[in-house]
Amino acid sequence: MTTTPRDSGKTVLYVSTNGAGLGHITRLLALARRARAGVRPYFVSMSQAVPVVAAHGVDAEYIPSRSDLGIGTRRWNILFRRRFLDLLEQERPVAVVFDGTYPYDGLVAGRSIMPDLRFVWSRRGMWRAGSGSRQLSRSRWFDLVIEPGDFAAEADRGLTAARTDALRVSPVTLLDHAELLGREEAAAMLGTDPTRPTALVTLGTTGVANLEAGLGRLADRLSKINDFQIVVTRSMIADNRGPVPATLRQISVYPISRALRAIDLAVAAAGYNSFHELLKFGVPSAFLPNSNAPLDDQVARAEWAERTGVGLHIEAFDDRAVDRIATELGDPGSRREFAVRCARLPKANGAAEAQRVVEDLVAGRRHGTRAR
Amino acid sequence: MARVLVRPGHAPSPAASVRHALGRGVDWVLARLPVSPPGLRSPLGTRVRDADPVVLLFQSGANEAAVRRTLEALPALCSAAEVRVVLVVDRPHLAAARRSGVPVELLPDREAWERRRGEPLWQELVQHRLTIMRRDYAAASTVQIPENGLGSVDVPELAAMLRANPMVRRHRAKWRRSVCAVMRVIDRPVAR
Repeated sequence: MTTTPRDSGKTVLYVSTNGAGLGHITRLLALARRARAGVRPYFVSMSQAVPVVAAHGVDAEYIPSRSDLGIGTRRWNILFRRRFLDLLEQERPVAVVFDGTYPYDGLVAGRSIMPDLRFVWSRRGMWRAGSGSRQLSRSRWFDLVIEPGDFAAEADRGLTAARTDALRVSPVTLLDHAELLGREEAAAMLGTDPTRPTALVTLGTTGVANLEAGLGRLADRLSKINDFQIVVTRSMIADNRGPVPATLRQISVYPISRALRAIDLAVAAAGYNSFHELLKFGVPSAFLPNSNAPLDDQVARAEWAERTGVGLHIEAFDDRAVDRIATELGDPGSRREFAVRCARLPKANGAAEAQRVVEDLVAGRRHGTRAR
Repeated sequence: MARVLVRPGHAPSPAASVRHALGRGVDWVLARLPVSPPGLRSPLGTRVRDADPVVLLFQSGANEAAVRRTLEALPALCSAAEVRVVLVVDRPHLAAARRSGVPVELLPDREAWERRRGEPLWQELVQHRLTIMRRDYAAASTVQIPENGLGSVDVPELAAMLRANPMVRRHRAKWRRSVCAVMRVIDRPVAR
């Protein structure tokens, strides 16, 4: 089926994998919403979080991931290839921007029907040491590799660290400072009281051992300090809702970063988006790495945050961690010191830069790679 | 494709080339086999077999409550009809399907689609996409259920209709079971 979109702009197809959280889709959305006039973003995602894209006014489609379907790799690759080629025929994009750690076989099949199609890989760094050589070898499929910057880049011990094939941009976040809501509006978004200190617990989609007990202890400790209220995020793609003490407020809000001015401290996984949003927007945070993220070296990020004094690294959500959080982040003076250190981090948002580079590529303007 | 996959000066080893060619051959066959993929997820609490025929269930315009009603009725339908189901919706109610263990496909939103294209082509899109899905899943049948969901349908009667459907019966052929068993070895499904 071939239909031509009504408007005359150039379509850029943004393709995201499913991933453990919303990282891939969020990074692509950060680029797409900064597209200039004349560029029409269209999303294709294997993530069931794809409705968030539509909520931002960007058209999006869903292709079930292999894990969503449960089928074998070969059959899934065949399915993806068929769907992807069909979408290329449908949308006739000028570029494809892929964000994921494993470029699918079917991606390059598009070249056979659209030889002038430009392929871009948004390839996040901080891979686990020694992992990912097979997928890294697929970099040669792409006309351009963009590496979203990482505050913790100096701690990168993965295979991408030594590569010179990527154009590195500043860290990418969905929102800029000016887009954050004021404290009262943000509190309304979260359903919290803006006059009380607020802790955010956002630990992603992977189950945390003893989560309910940890939350209970945290709530107990913080309430004795300063009458803290606690909100716990529930990922829209989590398979189960996990036990949360009834006294705590569970929310499913996207993007949570818009409401960060209503948050006084956070306990978060050290995934790319949470890490950069919390630090960039100055929220004193304790980072609990998700050790099950297949390729993401969240431990390195969290260790870097501890070492540089911009955050805490906790290894488990246990009594010791709760003590540290309550002691070091519960105190307003201590939180101010963390915020001051966070304020010294680079402020530039790589999303605009990355999107410009994609558009320049389409227009025939090349960029060189840039070392760290 | 060779231009893209092979960097000049880095020719693959003969063994790698043979493996690659064999893999391409296997994929060529798999892409054309009219047998549903093994391992396709099934509703929680349902006992289905890889060789059970796949049916696409299309529920258009449903709100979340209506999709939930369908999901609640699916275990009984799948067990009674001995089929696997892929739910096709056009509203983004994916979370409920995921929690129920049901594979779900999402069609583009009608209003957004027609606004983007400026013409009423959504029905064409639906037919086109269902055709692709039938091929991808080697589906035996496509059934459109009411917007209200399976809650308003006589599930035993629907199960009986599916069991009696000639295409569904044809998809129970012994040779398909054998091919499915071989496919499971060649192309391992996701571990549960």
